[in-house]
Order: sequence, then structure tokens, then C-alpha cells
Amino acid sequence: MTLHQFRYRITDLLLRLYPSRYRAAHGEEIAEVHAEATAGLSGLPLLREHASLAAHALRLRTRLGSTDPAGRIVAGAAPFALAGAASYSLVTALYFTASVLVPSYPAAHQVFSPAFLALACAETLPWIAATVCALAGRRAAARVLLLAGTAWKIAALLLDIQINGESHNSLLCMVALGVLAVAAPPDLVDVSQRSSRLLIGTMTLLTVPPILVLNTTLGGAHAVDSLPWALSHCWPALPAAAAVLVVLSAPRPDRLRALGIALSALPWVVVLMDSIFSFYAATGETVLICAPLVGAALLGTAIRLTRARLLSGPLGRA
Amino acid sequence: MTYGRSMSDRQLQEPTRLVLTALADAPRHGYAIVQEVLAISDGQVRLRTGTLYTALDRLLQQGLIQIHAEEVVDGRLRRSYALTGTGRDTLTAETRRLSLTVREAERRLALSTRPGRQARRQPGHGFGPGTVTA
Repeated sequence: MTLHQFRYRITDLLLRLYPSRYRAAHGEEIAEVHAEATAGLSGLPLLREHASLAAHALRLRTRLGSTDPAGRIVAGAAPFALAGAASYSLVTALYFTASVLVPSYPAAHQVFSPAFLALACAETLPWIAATVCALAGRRAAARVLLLAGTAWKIAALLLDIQINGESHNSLLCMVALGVLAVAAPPDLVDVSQRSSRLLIGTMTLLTVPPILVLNTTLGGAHAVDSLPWALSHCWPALPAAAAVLVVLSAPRPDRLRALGIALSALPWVVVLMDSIFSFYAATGETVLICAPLVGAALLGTAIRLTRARLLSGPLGRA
Repeated sequence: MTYGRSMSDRQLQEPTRLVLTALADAPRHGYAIVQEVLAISDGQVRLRTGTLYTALDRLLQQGLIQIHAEEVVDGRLRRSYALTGTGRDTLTAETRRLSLTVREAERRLALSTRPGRQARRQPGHGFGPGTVTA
């Protein structure tokens, strides 16, 4: 097989990833462009071209393209999912570091070997680094790191590897957040915009660290079902609920985006129900996470309708 | 975050803006758009095939571009794309918005280099000829 034949075969295989209808309409044209774009390329640049085509094909096949409603929902979830995963990783890394560096830290009684500590912190790095890359506007690097972090968590979940004592629930949450962030159509998540970076940075600081502050302040002494307990358990949904409120109260609300934002908060339902394994706890967590989101959706819609009514009334027409 | 839905009534994302710019003077086929974007961005943006067709799919759906012609070259289909009237209007609005931002940035930078001057607008003055919020 000559090099030309080999390349033709690769392109043919990549085109087979497209849904048949799309392939029939655009396959020939895409093959032509791909052949011209990859002429003279080799190694990593060639691999990137192939990966770009494969990603486009799979996005269309899974209906997660930027023109699909599901793609737009996931795009709405992506920045919040990335920030949530980074937020959780940041707190995990701080916990392990503090356990070693601060003798009075509650977990200092545990003996962490340097190898364990290094591994536990290394596991959080892809997520933190992905967020740093996103904040720096490096979209491609952020996606590669996210992919690596998600793949590792999926492997850890399937192979039952728990390096830093993470429960299956936490792993499941991280996998869900990672998948939401990775699956978003890249053209709908533009980290080159300052507003995007500001959103991701703010959500990273707001999603999990306040829970740590709350628990540290209260010394973990608050009773189950008390207000601080409820607040610490529903907290991850509060920043997302605020965003849902802002989106839905806008004059022309992007409902799919709001749905995506709400979706990004749902993985947190499973994280905090580790301590009590009961139907009551599962229901309680679901209510605690979903209530702020539903409340924000209703309030946002009410604000929008009220504003529209006022504007269409005598005062608005005047 | 900029999303597809809001793209037409707010700012365009860079690849989309570059694709529309590449089609502003003449219809072009896929690889010609890639080459044109590379030239426009001074070699900074090289659209990969998947990215190009993601953008083209969306622009077609939004009615900002249309298929201009289909021809067979060396036995292969070559499809060229052109701006629609809406696409031209969108690009014009975006260009105006960017021009205002550039002009304002230049004005402030010029002020900041002069000692004793502050880059602050007087109260009541808008942001350029029309107030633009991004």
C-alpha cells in the first residue's frame, strides 16, 4: 500500500464516522478539503487534522453539534462543569497539602507517604491545569487536559482505583462533569472572550471552596438537617441557580443554555450523599440540589413575564 | 460565554468572524476559506477541516452564508459558499463594533502615554457614536 493509498484509506475510515445522510451530502467535499489540508503534513499536525475530523463526525453522530439542541445544552453546561471539576480538584489538592504542611489540620493524624501525596495531587492536576489553560484562552490545551482527566476518572471508576480515598460517588460526579465539559461543541464555548474566562474563574472559586470555609468555620459540628448542613449540601447548586436566574430573566432568554447550566449542577447530587446510605439521604440531596435550580427558573421566568407585562402596559407604551 | 443563539445579536466568535470575512469579497470553496483565513489572521488561525465544517454548518443554519455553486474538479465535488444579505449585515455590524472598540482603545492608550492626562470620559459621553455593549 502506497502512502497515498494509506492516506485515502484513513480519510475513508474517518468519513465513515459521519452519519450516512451527512456523509452523502458533504462527504465528497469534506474528503477533498481534508486531502488538501493534510497534503505535506505528518506527525502531530496530521494527527490533529484527523482528530478534528473525527470529533466533528462523532459530534454529528451523537447529535452534539453546535446546531443541535443537545449540543447547545451541553455548551451551556460546559463552563460550569469545568469550573465545578476544577473547584473540587483545587479543594482536594489543598486538603492533601494542608494535611502534610499544617500539623493542626484535622486530617494530619493520617500518615501520607510522599508517593501517595504526590499521586493524589497529580490526579487533580489535569483539571486545575485545564482551568488555568481555559483562563489563559488556550482552548485546545484545555480540551486535551480535560480529556486526559476525564479518561483517568473513567478508568479509576471502572477499575475501582481510589487513589485519594475518593468514593465511587465522587468519581461518578467528576466523570459526569468531565463528560459535560468535553462534549460541548468547541465553537460554542469560546474561552477567548474575557466574559467566558471571568465566568469560569468566578465559578471555580464559588462552587466548592465556600463549603470548605463553612465547614472549617463551624468545625464540622453542625447537626444533620440543620441550616448550615443544608447550606453546605446545596451550595454547589447555588452559583448555577444564580446563573439560571440571570439567563431566564433576560428579555430573550436562552432556555437551552439555562437547561445546560442547571444540568451542570446535577452531578453534585451524588457527591455529598456518601455519609448516609439511605433512600432518605438520596432524596434529601436531590431536593437540596434541585430546589435552588427550580426556584431560580421560576423566579427568572416571573421576572421576565412581569417586565414584559409592564412594558406592554400603558406605562410601557408611553 | 458566547453561544450560537446569541451570535447574531451580539459579537461573533473569532473563527466565525474570520470565515465571514473570508467570504466578504467573493464566494470561496472549503480549502480556499482555510487559506484565506490563514492569510487574514496573519498566519495565526489555521482552521482544521472539522472546525471549518462546524462553522459552515452553523452559518448555513443561521442563514448567514449559502451554497453558491457546486462544480466537479478532477472528478471531485467542490462546493463554494457565499455571504447572504443577513451575513453581510451581521459582518458589517460586527466590523463597526470592533472599529469602535479599536478606536476607543487607541484613544485611551494615547491618553495614558501623556503625563498628567487621565483616560476618563466626561460624564454624559457615550462609548463612540452609539453605545455598544459586548
